[in-house]
Amino acid sequence: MSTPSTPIDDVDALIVGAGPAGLTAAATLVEHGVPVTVVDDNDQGGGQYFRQLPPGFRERPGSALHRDQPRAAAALGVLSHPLVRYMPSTTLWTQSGEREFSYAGIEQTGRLRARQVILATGAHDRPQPFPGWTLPGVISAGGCLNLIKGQALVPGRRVVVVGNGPLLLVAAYSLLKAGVQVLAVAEAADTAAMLRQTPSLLQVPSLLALGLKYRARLLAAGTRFLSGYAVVEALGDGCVQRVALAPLGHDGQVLGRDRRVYDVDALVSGYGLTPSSEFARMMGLAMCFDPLLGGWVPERGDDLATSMAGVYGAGDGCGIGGVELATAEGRHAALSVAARLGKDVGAAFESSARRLARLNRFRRALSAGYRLPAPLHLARPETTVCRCENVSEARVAAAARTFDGDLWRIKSATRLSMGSCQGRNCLSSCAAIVARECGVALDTLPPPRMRSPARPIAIASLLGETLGPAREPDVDDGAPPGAGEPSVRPLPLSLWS
Amino acid sequence: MADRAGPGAAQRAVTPGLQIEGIERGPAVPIELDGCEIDADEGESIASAMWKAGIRTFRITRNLAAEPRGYYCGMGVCFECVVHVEGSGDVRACRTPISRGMRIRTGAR
Repeated sequence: MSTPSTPIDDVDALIVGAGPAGLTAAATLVEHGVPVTVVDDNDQGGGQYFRQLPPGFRERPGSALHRDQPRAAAALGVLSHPLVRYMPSTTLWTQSGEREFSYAGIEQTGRLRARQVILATGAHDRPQPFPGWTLPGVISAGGCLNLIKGQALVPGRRVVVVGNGPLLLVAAYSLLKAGVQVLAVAEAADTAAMLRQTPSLLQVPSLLALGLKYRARLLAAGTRFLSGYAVVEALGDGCVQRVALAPLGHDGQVLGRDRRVYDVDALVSGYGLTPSSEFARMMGLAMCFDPLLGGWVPERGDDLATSMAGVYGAGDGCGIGGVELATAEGRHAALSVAARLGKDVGAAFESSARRLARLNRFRRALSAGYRLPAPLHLARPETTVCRCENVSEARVAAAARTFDGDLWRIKSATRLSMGSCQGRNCLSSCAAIVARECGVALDTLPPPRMRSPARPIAIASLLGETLGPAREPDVDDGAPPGAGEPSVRPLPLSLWS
Repeated sequence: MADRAGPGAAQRAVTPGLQIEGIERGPAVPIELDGCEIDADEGESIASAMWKAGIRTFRITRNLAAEPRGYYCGMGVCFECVVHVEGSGDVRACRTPISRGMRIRTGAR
C-alpha cells in the first residue's frame, strides 16, 4: 500500500501502546540498554489508566481527583529517556511486511521495521446494548473515567452506575470522590460467586483490600449496592433523566419484579472490557478465546511470546487483568526481548515470572467471581445493537437465523460493523446474539477478522502523503487552525473481510 | 455531509458544578458552537467544553430515525461524539483539544 517514497526506519524494539504495560516494557528495556520506539495512538502517554490532564491544567494538593499520579509520573518519565523515541498521536494502521508496519501521525507517515515487537494495545469497553443505551448522557465506564482523569469533569451530579466487573467500583468511587451523588451501583454478578473465590483473591491482599475500601466508602456515603441487578432501561427526553434497574434471572434477562427507578442526570454503564486485539488479529497471530480474559486474545507462551517470531504481547490487550498485571507483563515481555537481543537479564526473569503467576491467579479468580451464569440479554427487539449503522437487535437475530450464524453474511445483510467504529462497538453483542439464536457456544464462533486500516485514518495517509488539515469547500483561507487530529472521514471498512 | 442546524444552542440546560474541585483549568478561550459563543478552557477536549456547557447531543444520526447521540466511550473508539470543525472536517470531540476561535457544528453526521 505504501508508495516507494515512504521512508522505512529500522528499530531494535518497537512497543505499540504507551499505557501501563507499554511504559513498563519501555522502562525495562532502557534499563538493559536497549533503544526503544514507542508508538501511541493518544496525544499523551499513560493509556487509559494513567490518563493525564490536558497540558496547562494543574492539580492542587487535596484535590477531589481520584488518580495515582505519583505512579503515573514515574511511569511516564521513560518517554523522555534518551534511548526512547516516543511517537504520540500515531496510528499503526497496517502490517506491510515481517514485523514491518505503516504508521500515520499528525505530521508524518512512514514505516517501521522492528527486530522485536511488544504489543501493548490495551482494552476498550465491552458494549452492552439495553433500551436507551444510545441516549446522550449514557456513557461507558471508561468514558466516565476518562472524563474524570482526562478532563477533570464529572458526567453529572446524580449518577447511577450499572455493569459487571471491578471497573464499576473504580468508576463509582472516582465519582464519589469528585463529589457526585452515586445513587446506586447495580452489579450484575451475585456476591455468592465472588465469595467462593476468596482463597485465591487473598493471594493479592492489597487489591482485595482496595476493592473493599471503595465499597465501604460508597456504602457510608449512602450508595445503594444492588448485586445481581442489571439495567432495564434508560429514559429521557433527548438526554437520560431516569433509569430503571431490576434483578437478573438465570437466563441473563431482567426479571419483572423488584424494579427500582432513579432520577439521574447521567448513567454510567460498564459491562466489562474487551481486549483491543484487533491489531494482533490483523497481523495474523494465533488467537484463543478465553472468557476469563475477556474474549479473543493472542496465544502466548510463558515468555509472553506470541505465535509470530519476535512478537510479544503484554497487558489488557492480551487479556483483561488490570494495571498490576499489565505492568508485570510489560516488564516480563521486555525481559524476554532484552534476552533475545543478547542482554544479560540475570535472575530478573525468574522473579518476574513468579510475580506474574501470582497476579495471574488473582486475575482468573476475580474474573471467575464476576462471571455471569449466562450471557446478558438486556436488549429488546427494537434496541440498537450497531450504533454506527443503526441495526436493531431484531434484525441481527433474524439475520443470524437466516444465515445460520455466518458472520460475513450477517454483516452483508445488515451493515452491522461497517461503520466508523469498525465493529468495536457491536461485535461482542453480535456474537452473543448469534450464540443464542443458533444454539452455539461463544468459543465456537471464529474470531472476527481485521483488515487494514486498524483505525480510520485520513486518505492522505494511505497515499503516504504528508498530512495537512483537510479542506472543505465551505472553508475559506482565513479559517482558524485545524484541530489536534486529522479529519476522520469514515472509510467503508470492516473487521470482517 | 448534511448540514442541518445543530441542537447545541437550543438544549443548553447547564448542570452546575461538573468541574472537579482542586483542579486549575486552562485559561478561558472563546469558541463558537452552532453559531453561539461558549467559553472553553484551553487544552480541554471539545467534548469536555460541550459537556460543561450542558450540551449532551453531539450529533444526530443520518438515517430516518434521526436519533440524538453524544459522548460515550471517551477514548476514540465509538465515533459517537463526531462533530464538524471548520477547517478540520469531522473529528472525534473526545480526542480533539479546543483551540481559540474554533468553530464547531453539531447536527447530522
